Amino acid sequence: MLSVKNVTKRYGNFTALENIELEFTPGVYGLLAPNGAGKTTLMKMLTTLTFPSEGEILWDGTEIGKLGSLYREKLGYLPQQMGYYPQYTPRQYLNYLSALKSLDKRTAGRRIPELLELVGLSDVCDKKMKKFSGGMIQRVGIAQALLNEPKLLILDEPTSGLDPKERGRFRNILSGLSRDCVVILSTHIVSDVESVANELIFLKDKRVFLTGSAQELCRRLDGTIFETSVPDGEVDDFERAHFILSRRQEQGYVSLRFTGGEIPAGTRAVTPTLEDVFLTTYR
Amino acid sequence: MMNRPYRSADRTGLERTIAQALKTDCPPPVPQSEIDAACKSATAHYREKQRIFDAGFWRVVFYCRSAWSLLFWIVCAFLLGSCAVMPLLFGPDGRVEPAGIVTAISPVPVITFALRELRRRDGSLADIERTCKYTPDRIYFARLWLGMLLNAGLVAVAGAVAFSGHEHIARLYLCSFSAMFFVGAAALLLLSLTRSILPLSIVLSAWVVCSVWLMSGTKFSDMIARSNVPFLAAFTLLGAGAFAAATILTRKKLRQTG
Repeated sequence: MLSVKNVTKRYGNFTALENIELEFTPGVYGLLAPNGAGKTTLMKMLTTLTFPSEGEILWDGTEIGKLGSLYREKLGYLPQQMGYYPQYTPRQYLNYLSALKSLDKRTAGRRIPELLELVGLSDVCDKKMKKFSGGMIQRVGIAQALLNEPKLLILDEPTSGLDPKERGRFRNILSGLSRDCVVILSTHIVSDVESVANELIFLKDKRVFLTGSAQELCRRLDGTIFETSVPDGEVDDFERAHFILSRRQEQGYVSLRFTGGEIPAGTRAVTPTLEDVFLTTYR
Repeated sequence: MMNRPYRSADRTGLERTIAQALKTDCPPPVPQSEIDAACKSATAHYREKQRIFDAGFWRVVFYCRSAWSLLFWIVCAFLLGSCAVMPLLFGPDGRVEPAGIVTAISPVPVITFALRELRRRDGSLADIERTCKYTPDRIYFARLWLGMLLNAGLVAVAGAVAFSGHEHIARLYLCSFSAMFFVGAAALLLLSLTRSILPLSIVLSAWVVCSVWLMSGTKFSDMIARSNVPFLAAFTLLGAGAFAAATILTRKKLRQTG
């Protein structure tokens, strides 16, 4: 469906991404990388906001730049910072974007209330967005991305500003969409994608570093992640010898999750999580 | 309404030639993917050409004119209208020259409109708009021209009152329209070249103050009376050309940067 073929993006002398090769079929893809690793650049190329310096991006075998409006018709996009007209109400804003997305009036009239209900904004749909919190704005952003029932949904850090209840609601929306839609979700928050993404893509050093399902990626670390309890006074020494993944303060002891180094007595191996994969990848 | 079935009699000469050639010569094998790609490119190209004629395109252009927009045009109408009725307030021998003031203020509505349309959008909003079917550069291009047409309409109406009874009415109109086009073009150029609103605000304020000062005496009326109508008409057309060029440049900038 969507193929990224040997794509490199340069800004002057600076190379943001190098030789990216990816294939997307319907499903949810989590694009994981720390801030500044090139996630947004890749997203912008997939949305035709910028174009590769080398390589090509194909939708069903045709270069997306050549498809033009035919490609954009299939696209739903939520940028990292959701842009809006503060004086518009969510209903007006969605109406405006439905017109831009060439939805006819009848479809827009049916779709907008559905989406406002889906993101839990029905009761404030006629209030001006300038009075909205960050989370509410983000929910309007999610609704606008879904307006045209996209075949390709690109979400750049979509859960920023959402409370846990809204994150749960959002994950359910994504699961429902993944049957016939390519959903690409960029984030640096591992828990956002752990339960919904069919496949995860880790970017590192401007390239695709790892791909696979959460289980596959976690399995790579089997037998390398441990937990132990260390007295308060010995934590610094332990830290120097091992890579600490997480710590929890207990009475007189610190419970540490770690990898690498010599394995001390009383240590037990634990099941790796995606958080562990993320932290060991970007250590 | 159901489509009429396509019959061989409907074929043009070229189509008949192609049909005949297909019967006699075996066409070369072409992979399905290449056929699909060609069809998609052709469809995209067709849609690109058709967009401006779509009812949907104009729905976007006119869409969401908020209450503020209406208020904006009411204020503009009031501003120009008040200039037009000044002779009634000051009398024919008053120091205020209504023709001068109408000319001075004539570009203000379109510039304020352009500022509002182009400057209130942040980068993220532009990103969302640029990923929709109708990219915003065409929409803002159409809106700028609609703004200019509305501005011209306001100037025409205000001028009808302000210039009534004036012996050089055609010259006054041409002068107002020239100011409107040239200052509008300068404003768009400044907006395209600088990302800051400040230079344009300074230019706009300076234009209004200077032009009112210059035109409030009799010099302006004398100059108008001496000027040549064909020359003024050519000057107005040149202004319209400059404004068109400025809107094209603005559109290019929008396409590149949103």
